[in-house]
Amino acid sequence: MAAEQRVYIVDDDRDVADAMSMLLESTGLQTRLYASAQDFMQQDVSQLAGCVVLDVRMPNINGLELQQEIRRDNPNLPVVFVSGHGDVPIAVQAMKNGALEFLQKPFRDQEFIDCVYRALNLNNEALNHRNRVSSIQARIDSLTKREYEIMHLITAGNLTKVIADKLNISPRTVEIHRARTMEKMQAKTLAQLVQMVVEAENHA
Amino acid sequence: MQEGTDIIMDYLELPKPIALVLDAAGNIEHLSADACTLLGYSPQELLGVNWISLCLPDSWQLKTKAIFDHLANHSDGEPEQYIYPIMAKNGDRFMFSWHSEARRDPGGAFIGSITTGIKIRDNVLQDKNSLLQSAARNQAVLDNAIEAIISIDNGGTITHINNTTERIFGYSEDELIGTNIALLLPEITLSDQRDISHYLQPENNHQFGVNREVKARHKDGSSVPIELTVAEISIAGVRSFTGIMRDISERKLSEARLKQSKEEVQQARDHLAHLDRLHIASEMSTGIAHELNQPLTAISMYAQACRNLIKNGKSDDALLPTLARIDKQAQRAGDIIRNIRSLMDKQTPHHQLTDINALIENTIELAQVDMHCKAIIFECQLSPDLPMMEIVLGQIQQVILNLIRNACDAMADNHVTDKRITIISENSPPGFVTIRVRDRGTGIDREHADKLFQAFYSTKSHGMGMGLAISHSIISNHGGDMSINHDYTAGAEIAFTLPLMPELGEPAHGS
Repeated sequence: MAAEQRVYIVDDDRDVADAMSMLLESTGLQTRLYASAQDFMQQDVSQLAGCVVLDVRMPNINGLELQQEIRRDNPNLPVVFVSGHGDVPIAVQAMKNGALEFLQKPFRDQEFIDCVYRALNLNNEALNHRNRVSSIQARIDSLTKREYEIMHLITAGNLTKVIADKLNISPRTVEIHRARTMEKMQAKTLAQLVQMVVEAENHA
Repeated sequence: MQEGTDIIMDYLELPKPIALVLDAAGNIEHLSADACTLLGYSPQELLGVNWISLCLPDSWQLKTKAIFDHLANHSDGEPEQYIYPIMAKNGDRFMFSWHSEARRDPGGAFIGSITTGIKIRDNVLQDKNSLLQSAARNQAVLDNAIEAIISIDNGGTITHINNTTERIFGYSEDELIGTNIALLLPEITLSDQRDISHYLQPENNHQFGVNREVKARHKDGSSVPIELTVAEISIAGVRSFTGIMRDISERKLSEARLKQSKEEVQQARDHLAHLDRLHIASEMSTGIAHELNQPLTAISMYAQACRNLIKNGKSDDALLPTLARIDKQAQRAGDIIRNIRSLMDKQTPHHQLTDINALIENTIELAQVDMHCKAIIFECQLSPDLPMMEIVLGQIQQVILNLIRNACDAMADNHVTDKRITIISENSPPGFVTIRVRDRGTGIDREHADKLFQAFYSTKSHGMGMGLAISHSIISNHGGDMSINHDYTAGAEIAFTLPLMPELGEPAHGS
C-alpha cells in the first residue's frame, strides 16, 4: 500500500467525523476531516490517493453530488457512503454511480474498517494498474514505426513468413525487428507481449 | 259654602247599623227597616228569601257562605266578624262590617243567626280594601316566590314560612313553625344557635343581603344546595331575621354538566393536539432516528478505537480523551431524547413554569433534526427580561415547532437565497409575552390568510392542514392569540401571545 494513501472523511457532523477518524487512526491509517463538500473540493482532488468516506445528507452539496465531482476528477478514488437514513433510492443511486459501499448507521465498526481497507486496496490496485499502463505506454512509444507495425502483426498471430510477405521484406529482417521489439517491451514471451498490448489498448 | 258643609256632614254622619235574622238555611226571617230602605226592597220581597243569594254580589257569595257554615258548625259560641258588601235592587253596592252570632236551641242545634252590620264609609273601605289587597298580594308574592322565605326570631325559631319552603324542604308549615332553623340548616353549630346572627352574618360581615351558598337539608335527609340571603329586622330592640333561600340544585347540576362538557372539549382538544404532535413526530422520525444514530455510531467507533489502542499497547493518556468523547456522545443522545420526549408526552397536559427563551432554543434544535431545516440559518432576538411563564410545555413547543416547520417549508424553494428564520420574543403588550416567527419565503396571500387557521386547510402538497389550526387552538386555550402580521413583507410572520397570568376561569386542567 502506498504511504501517501489517506482516508478523506466528509461529514457535517463533527462528532461522528471525529469518531470515524479516531477509529481508523487506531488501526494505523491516516485521515483528513472535512465539514462540507465545499471544503473537500478546495483541494486538487485528482492528486489524492486513498479513499473518501461520504455522509449522504449534508446541507448545500450533498453526498451524491460530491460523488459525481470526485468521479470526474479522480475516478480511481473509491467512495464509501455512510448514512443515518435508510434511503433505498439514494443507496441504489450511489451504487449505480460506482460507490464501493453504502453503510447505514449505526454500522459495525469492523464492517466499516474492512470496507475502508477494501477501498484503499482498490485504490492501490488502480494506482498500480495506472502506473503499469503508463510504463507499457512509454515502452510502446519507444518503438520505431516498423517495430510497432511488426508488434501488431505478431500479436495478431501472424507467422514471420507471412509478415515478411505482407511487408515485402525478408523473414530475416522480420526476425531482427521482432527481437528488438521484445527487448524494448521487456517481454520475455509472446504471451507477455500480447497482454501488454491488450492492457494498453484497453486503457486507450 | 254649601259644598264644604256637605263634606263635613258626610264625615260627621254616624253609620246606621242594620240587623238581620236568618234561619238555619240562611233565609231572611227578619230585617230592620233601614236595611229594606237601603236595599230598595219592600219587606215582603225579602222575607223568606235567601239572604246570600239575593243581596250579595255573585263574587262574594261563596266566601260568605263559608263564614255562615263555619258559624253553624262550630258550637263554641264565638261570634264571627268579617267584611262583605251587599247589593241593592238597583245594583248599588255597600260595604258593611258584619258581626254574626249563632242562634241555637236548648239542645245546642243551630237554628239560625243574628247578624248586625255597620256600613263602612267608602273611603275607609278603600283604605281597608287596599290594605287587605296588599296583604293578600304580599302573601301571594311570598307563596309564589321561587325562593323559600323563612322568618326566624333571634333564637333561630321559625316564625313564618311561605309555600315554597314546604316544596323545597318537604316539611309542612305545621312541622316547621316553632322549630329551630338548624333543622333546615344543619351547618349551624350548637354554639351558633345561641346567637343565630353569628351564623347568619358570614365572617361577621355586617353587610346583609350578601348571597352565599350553603348546604341545607331536606326532610328526606338529602342535601339541598341553596343560595342564602339574610335580612335583619329590628323592631323595638327585638331582632328577627328573614332568610331567602334559593334552591340551586338545578344550577349546580347545569354547572356540573357545563364543567363536564368543558372538560370533554378540553380532552378532545388535548387529544387532537397530541395526535398532531405524533404526526409531527412521525414526519420527523427519520430525522430523529438519524439524529440518534449519530451519537450511537460515534460511541461505538470511539469504543472500538479504545480497544485498538489497548491492543496496540498505547498508554492511558491516549485512552482518556477518547473515553471523555464517549461520555459526551452519550450525553448528546440523552439530550435528543429529552427534547423529543416532551413532544411525544401522552400524559395529561399540565401547566408548568417555563423559560420561554430556553424553550425556543431547544425547539430550534429539535427542528434542525429535519434535513429541510438544517440548511436554514436561525436568528434569535430574545428579550432578556421575560418572566417565567406558566404553560403546557409540550403544547407550546408544538406550536413553535409547527411555525418553524412551516417557515422551513416556505423557504424550501431553491429560488429563496436568504434562507433565514428569525424568532423574536418580546415582553409586550402589557400582561402578555409575544413570540414572532419570521421567514423569508413567499409570504402569505391575504386571500389565504383568513383560512389559515382553519382545520384541513393547506396550501402544501403534503401535510394534513391541521398544524396551524391546532396551534391556534392551543394558544387560544392558553388565553393568548395567534395572528398573521401583514406589516412584515420580507416573507411571512406569524405571531402569538401568551398571558403572563393564566386565566383564572380556566385553572390548570387535569392537575
